[in-house]
Amino acid sequence: MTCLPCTDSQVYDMKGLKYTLAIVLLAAALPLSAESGIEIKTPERIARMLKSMPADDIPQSGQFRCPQLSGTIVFYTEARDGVTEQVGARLFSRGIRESYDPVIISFVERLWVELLLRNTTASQTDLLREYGVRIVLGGYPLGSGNFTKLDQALDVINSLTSVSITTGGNEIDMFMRDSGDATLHIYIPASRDLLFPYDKKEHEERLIVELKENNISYRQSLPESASFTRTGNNLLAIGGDCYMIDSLRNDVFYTPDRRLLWDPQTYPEESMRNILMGAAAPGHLLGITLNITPHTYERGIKKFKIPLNLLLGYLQQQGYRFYTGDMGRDGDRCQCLLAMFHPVYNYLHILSLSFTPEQLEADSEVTLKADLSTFIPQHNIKNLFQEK
Amino acid sequence: MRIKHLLFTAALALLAVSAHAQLDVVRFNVQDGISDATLKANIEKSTSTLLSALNATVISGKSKVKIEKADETLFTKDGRTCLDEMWASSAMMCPVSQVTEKGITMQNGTVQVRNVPITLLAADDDNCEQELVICFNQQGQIDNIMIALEEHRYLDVINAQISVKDFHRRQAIIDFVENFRTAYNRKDIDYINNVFSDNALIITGKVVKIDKKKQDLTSKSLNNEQIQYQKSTKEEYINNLKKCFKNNSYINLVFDEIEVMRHPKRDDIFGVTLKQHWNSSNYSDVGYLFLMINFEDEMNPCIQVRTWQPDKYNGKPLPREEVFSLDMFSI
Repeated sequence: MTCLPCTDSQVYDMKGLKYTLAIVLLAAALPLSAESGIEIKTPERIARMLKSMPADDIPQSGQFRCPQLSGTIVFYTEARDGVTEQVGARLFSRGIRESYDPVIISFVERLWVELLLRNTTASQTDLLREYGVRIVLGGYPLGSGNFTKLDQALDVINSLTSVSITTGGNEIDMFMRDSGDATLHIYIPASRDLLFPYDKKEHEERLIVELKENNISYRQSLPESASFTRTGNNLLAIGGDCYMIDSLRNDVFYTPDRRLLWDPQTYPEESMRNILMGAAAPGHLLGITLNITPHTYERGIKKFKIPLNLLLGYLQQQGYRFYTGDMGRDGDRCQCLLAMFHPVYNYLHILSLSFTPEQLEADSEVTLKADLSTFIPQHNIKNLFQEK
Repeated sequence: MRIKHLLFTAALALLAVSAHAQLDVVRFNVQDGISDATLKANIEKSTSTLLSALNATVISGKSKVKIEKADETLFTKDGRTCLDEMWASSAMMCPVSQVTEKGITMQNGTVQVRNVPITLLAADDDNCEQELVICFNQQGQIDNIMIALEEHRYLDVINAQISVKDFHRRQAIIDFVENFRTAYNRKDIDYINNVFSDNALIITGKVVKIDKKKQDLTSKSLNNEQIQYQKSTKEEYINNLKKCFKNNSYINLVFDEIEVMRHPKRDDIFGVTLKQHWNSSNYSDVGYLFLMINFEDEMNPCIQVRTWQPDKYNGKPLPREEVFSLDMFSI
């Protein structure tokens, strides 16, 4: 990254900002740090950007000007729990920010700052190439044809008449049209690492804190379709979608006479998979607490307990797609897997559970052992099952 | 699946005879997006030839897509390999005789054409209607062909027999590789030091120019670059990495095209091949990274082999068969 030269006073101010941030971070992080080995800090990416900004007075959270980068754009920072987590160029109106995916909008506004921190179109296109992002104005990528300056794209953004964001594949397409019918596409790889300001370690730590603080319950979601398929063990299933392999499915299981399956003694795995898919009676879900071993970058994060209802409720609310599978038995213990795929940011959380049929049938509350792996990227896999 | 293939073949053949027309022929036009007329014409010719050849091969029932000798130059070597690999997983045909799509010019001057309709004959009814993405080099030769659907859906077609346990293990490897990448970006030398086995084999390839004066006449006109491989110990590698971390204020490693292979005899040994994009304050490069990972201790997997090779030399991509893989190392 090219750093713009700073005057002495700017260096002094940056030191001041860092000092302020450090105090606030320390205060915010201590309670969590003591409990779980997690210390929430400003993401390194954001800290690096703040350090590069040639601005006199950057608030911890709020708007500021930076004439050395742009005389017209308003810049901003955002903080959560006293920790600065975003720095961006205010490109979009409140209406657009509220109508579209805030992660994508924040990414574009953050990218804009990174581009402005570069002096030439050539070095801006180098950054875009590094990120795999394409900004295409009237059919021309930045640096080609008539699209020679980034400001030309700003002209479209400043007089928008329509915006659409297409997600769901390996590339996100943000399409904009202005009042003069000029079109602007921003194509972004659907990669968590690029879209969020956090690296995997930072994101995992935030996720665990959010899981612990969450109080959203899991909503029951019975399949709308009534199209049954017969499973290998004489049950019926509705679902039909699978993730990567045929045996990891979004199926909900039914008895041969088309009643929702709940039979932990005969079909413990299918009964558990119904719980995980939100298709079991609330009583079966509410009594289960998980004792989770997190498999994260930071090995110091301790095991933690969370009601299954709240874990699933949080992930459901975040827009994950759930797929379950049977991992076979280990002695008398059944093992099920829940894969939670985020279709916009292209990553996976995997929860594996170990239990006995008796635990599922217990009248009192039970605690089950579980392992959780998080933020496993899926966009860059060419072949997970390569054979020679 | 085979029945579907036969039905398609029979239907196409019957129609071709009864209508006295070449129903296998597909015409492809670029609507806009490419200003260079020669490049546009080359892309139209390459794509029309490809789609017509797919249909002709389905009709003839041959096991490999036949491209006329005169048309072989419409493909790069990688493009042709890609076509053959796709055909090996499923025969396919273009169900329409005229396709018009825009060209998307990428930043490096290469071009993509998307939304080309095809029917995958080996897929089930829900998955058989798909769209191709065709990538062209700057001359308009076909360099890559992909199915335009999410990776997991494409794999549905070919990976129906894999167990949930195997899926879980292989995703754990992707997770490990992502942590490994994160450690470089965080300059976390302790993490990297911990995941390498003390006896790790570390091989780094380097492109070197050959002294032309020392070459004989025949080779002089051909290649003037070769890859030299250097072996280092874990200690040497870590020390070099420490210097690199110190000299770069910023490192951004990107991993792409990850392939995971299990050792044929050892369930706990995996090979991972991927394309590594190294971006840093002072330097950037692209190359193939191969890691042999031992998962005997699931909580503490370790890297036993790490190799790096440049992605191209002599102006050409490193041939796929030269990229290190699990079968090149004995355990």
